[in-house]
Formats: sequence, structure tokens, C-alpha cells
Amino acid sequence: MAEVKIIDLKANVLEDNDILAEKTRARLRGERTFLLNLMSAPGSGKTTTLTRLIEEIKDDLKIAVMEADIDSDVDAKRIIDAGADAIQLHTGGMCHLDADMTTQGLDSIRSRRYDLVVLENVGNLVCPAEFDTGATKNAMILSVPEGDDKPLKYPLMFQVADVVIINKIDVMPYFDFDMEKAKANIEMRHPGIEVIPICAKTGEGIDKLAAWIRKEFEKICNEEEA
Amino acid sequence: MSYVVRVVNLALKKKEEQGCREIEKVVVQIGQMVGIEPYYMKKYYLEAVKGTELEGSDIECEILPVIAKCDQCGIEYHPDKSNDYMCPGCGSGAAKTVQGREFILKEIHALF
Repeated sequence: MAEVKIIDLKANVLEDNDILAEKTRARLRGERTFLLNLMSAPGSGKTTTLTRLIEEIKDDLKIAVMEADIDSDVDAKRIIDAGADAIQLHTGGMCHLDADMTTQGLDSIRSRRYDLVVLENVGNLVCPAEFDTGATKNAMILSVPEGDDKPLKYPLMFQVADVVIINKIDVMPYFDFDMEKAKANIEMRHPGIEVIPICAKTGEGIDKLAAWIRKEFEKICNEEEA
Repeated sequence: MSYVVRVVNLALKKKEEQGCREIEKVVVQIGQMVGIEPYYMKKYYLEAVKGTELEGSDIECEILPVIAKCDQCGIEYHPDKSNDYMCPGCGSGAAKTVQGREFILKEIHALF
């Protein structure tokens, strides 16, 4: 009888995804395109925030949005109405995007033509945090009704984010949401991270988010020159 | 699902590289912070290998507990409910994750 041999591999299963994600980032640097991976729970206001942001910066930056949705195009229509180009990435039930799907999306919109491409990830605080999409930066939205304890419940999401947007601050008086506690919880998970409180409905704070985007976009332009 | 498919594809690639005749079992290590349940990993693995050269093989999952290294005092600890996810040495919550996010194909048990 043949003998069973144990072969040591210690191979990172997500390595192919990580390699492709790094390649994507390099490609985007070459194209001078800033890819923002926007993540949040469903209903926290990703699309509304984006429509406001587009109105604020569309005169300076050429923008496209890649909408990840299981099977609808409701969000893409709203983005086009706001003044950006949009494509729909139908994930067919997948709960997150990976580097491969993101690259396919970038190819089909021809990302080189844009300054800013926003990847609106699937509404979910767990899986999207685990897969590197190849984005230049990750942003996440936490909305007031979700509660100030979310950084404690979904630590990885807050660790992979480069900026946290707190949305729906207009309804804060009606919820047990303590802004200072939320900021402390976020700081605990990700020391030094920038937090931007906004109200996408009224437009409050969108200028600060726009300033962050402009600052990050300039960084990649300078990097490319250097 | 995408984790399972990735394990199967990687194991098939390794089987080819190593020139194994048959794989009896694959062993994976899953960090505690990765949202994978061994029960489902096994259930879907057994489905995913059907019709591939890995059909009939088994999967074993080892869990890697979370280890955090405190930014303040530098000690390593397991953050959990008992210490309220804070450093037991100095009470700080600022820490780097040293272990717990891995998803590794540790070994394959093969017949030649």
C-alpha cells in the first residue's frame, strides 16, 4: 500500500488576490486614476453620499462609479443623474468584490479616462473588508442609526479603512449615538484615522469629504511625477 | 464560497506541481478574525471538489487564535471578552494584530 506523505506548503490562499490587487494599484498609479473602495452596511447612505460628492467635485475631477449590486441598477441611475459615469457590476449573489472583479470593472469603463473611480462595494461590513480590491484607498461609512458600537463589532472593517465617514448626523438627537464614543471606538480600532461627520441629505460636511478626496488625488499625481 | 473555491484551485495546482497521484487530505489554517466557520468550510469543500481530481479528499481546519501586540507596552495577548479586548498589561486598546487574519493552505497529505 502506498504511503501517505505530508507536504508542507504554508501557502497563503488569498495570495493570487493580493498579487492582482498590487498590480491593479500599480496600473492605477500609471493612469493617474484614484480608485476609492467605498464600503458600508446596506442603507447607510453610500449612493446618496456619492451623489452629493459628485455634485461637489465634478467640475474639477472626471468621475466614474462602479456599482456592485446583486442584481439591480437603481443606484447606477442615480449616479448618472448626479453627473458621473456609472457601470453596474452584478455580483450574482457574491457578498463582496475581489481584485479580479474590480480589474474587470476598470477595464470595461476604461479607467484611464477618469481622475476618480469609486467602487461602491456590496453593502456588508464583514466580507468586503477581507478582500483587497486593489483600490488606492478604502473608505467606510458608518451611519448614526447603526450605533456607536459598530467599530467594536466589526473591527476589521475599521482597520482596513483609511477614512471613516459618519453619515446621518442630523438624526443624532433621536438615537443613542454618542459622537465622542464613536470616535473613541474608531480610534481604538485604527489609531490616527481621519473621521468625517456628514449629512448626505442636507450636504453638511460634504466639503470636508471633498477636501479629503482632493488631497488624496493630489498625492497620487505627485507620486507619479516623483 | 470564494474561499473554498480558492482552496480547491490552489490545492489542485500544488498537486500538479508536486506530482502527487492522489490527495487524501488538505489541512488549512484559519485565523479567528477571518469569517470562516470550519463546519461550513468542510461542507462546501466536499461539494466543491466533486468532479475534480480532489474528489474523495477530506479537509481539516485548524483555528489560529487572535494575538495582539500592545502599541503601548509591547506585550502580546489574546484579546477577548475576559479582558474586554484591552491589553491586560497596561489597559490600552491600541494594538497591532500579529495573528488571526491568516488563511493558509498548510499542508497536503498525498499519495505518490
